[in-house]
This record gives sequence, structure tokens and C-alpha cells, in this order.
Amino acid sequence: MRDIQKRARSDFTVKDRVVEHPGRYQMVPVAGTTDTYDFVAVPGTVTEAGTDLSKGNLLTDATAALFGLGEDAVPDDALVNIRSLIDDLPTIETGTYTGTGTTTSTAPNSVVLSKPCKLMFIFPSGSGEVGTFPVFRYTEDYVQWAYYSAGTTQGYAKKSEDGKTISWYVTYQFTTIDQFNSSGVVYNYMAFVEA
Amino acid sequence: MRIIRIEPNQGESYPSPQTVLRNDVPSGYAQIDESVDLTQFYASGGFVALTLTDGVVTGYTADPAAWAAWQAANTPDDQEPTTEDRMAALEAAVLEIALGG
Repeated sequence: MRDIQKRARSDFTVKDRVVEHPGRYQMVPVAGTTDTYDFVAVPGTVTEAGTDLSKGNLLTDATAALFGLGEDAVPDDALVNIRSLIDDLPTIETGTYTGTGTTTSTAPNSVVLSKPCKLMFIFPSGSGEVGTFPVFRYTEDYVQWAYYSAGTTQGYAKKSEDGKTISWYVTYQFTTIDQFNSSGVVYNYMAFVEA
Repeated sequence: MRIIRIEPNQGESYPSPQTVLRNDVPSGYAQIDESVDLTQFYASGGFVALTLTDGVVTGYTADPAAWAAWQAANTPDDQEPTTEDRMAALEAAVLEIALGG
């Protein structure tokens, strides 16, 4: 988008108007009246005519189109559009937990977030741990999830109804490393949450 | 701030406390007082009884017997799943994702 906008405005520069007498006007009586006057600028020498304050100079049609706006759009429309885009951006939430050494569906791990989760990564800090990142396909019931390190899918994850709590476990034949829950190991998580 | 879910898991152990940057305590969770040392919490696999005072965890009682019983009942198989088993499970998951499952 930036490249397109840059191209659209590449030949455009804004210049201030520079005149000899910027505030000087002449009062000219309006014909046929006795108490009505026109103010007529008397600028003296015009060094620089300046850039016109026009709609096209404030928001070009090309830029408006980048926001999906029509030719009748005004800068305020674009600003509202930008704010809306910013509001819709996911934000990142981080935290830590320390593993307890349990596994299986009777002892799942869980992390609660301040807003509904879109995606979460977990980074173990232990030297013997596998550096890995789970990709949770969140639903409200436990479903299998796949992750990178061990090439296994014997893990299950779900999110709460409000989307803020992610819970997960691995089946009994896998270890606490696979569940990101080795005893005493600090795990860092990073979650993309809704704006 | 450290927080922990108030209700234990089905197996009666608590999930790990979280350290979070925010200041609000989520519904269903309690703040853990800064004075509480969690060493025994982790040593007992989260098998503890929490002590809450005005909604704040001010202490806990570890249950090493419950932890030992859980460990005895959940000993991992000695036999690792085969590569074929893992590949089959992975393929099934990928297929499920591809089908929008």
C-alpha cells in the first residue's frame, strides 16, 4: 500500500504561499449599495503562489481508493478508516508459567488471557526441553493439535467458551516435555489476542 | 502478578500458576500473594489445597501422597510410539485441517 501511495503522490509537493503583504486587503464598495464592501487582497509582490487548498490536494482519489473509499471521500473518512484498521489489529499478550510435571486429560495445562485468543506459542526455557511451538486449532471441545518438534499429534487442546482460556494435554504415552509441563521448567507464552 | 485457577483439574491437581503483566484477576482465578513460596506446590505436582483469604491465595497445603498416587497411576509407557504411528497421526491431523475439521 505504501508503494502505491508513494507513486500516486510522487509528483506532489506542498508549498506555502509567500507574498509581500499577507494580511493586506482593500475594501471595495459593492455597486448599487451604500454599506456593503468586498475585501480584495492586495498582496504586493507574490514570491510563491503556494499550493491550493483543494479536495484533491488533501485526499487524492487514488489514496481514497486504497481505503475502499469513493471519489467523494474526505480526509476524515480516511482517518476513521485508519482508526478502524488499528482497532482490528490483534495484540500480543505474554506471560510465564512453571511446569508441574503432570500430563494426560486429568491434568491439563491451561493459560488464561485477557482477551479471546487467536493463536498462542509456548517457548520452554529449560536446556533439556525441546524448543517448539504448538499451533492450536481452538474449539470449545478438545481436538488434536499438531506441533513441530516431535512430529506427533497425540496432544489435545481447547479454548473456553469466551475464548480466553486455552487448555491442553498429551496422552499418557507422551512426556511432560510434550505437554510443555516439565516440573520446574519455566515456559514463556506469547498469544495473539483479539483487539 | 501471579494468578491461579481456583478450581483444580479433574485429577485434583492445579494447573500451573501464571505470571502475568496485567493487574486484573480473571473470573475463576485468584491472585497469589507475593509472600507465598510455591516451591512445595511444584514439588507436589500441583496437588495442593489452596488457602484463600478475601479471594487471595495466602497459602497452601501440599498433598505429596496424592502426587505419588497420581504418578503411580500415570506411569508413561516404556515403549515409545513408532514413527509409523506418529506419521499416521500427523497425516490424519493434516487431513482433518485440510478438510476444515
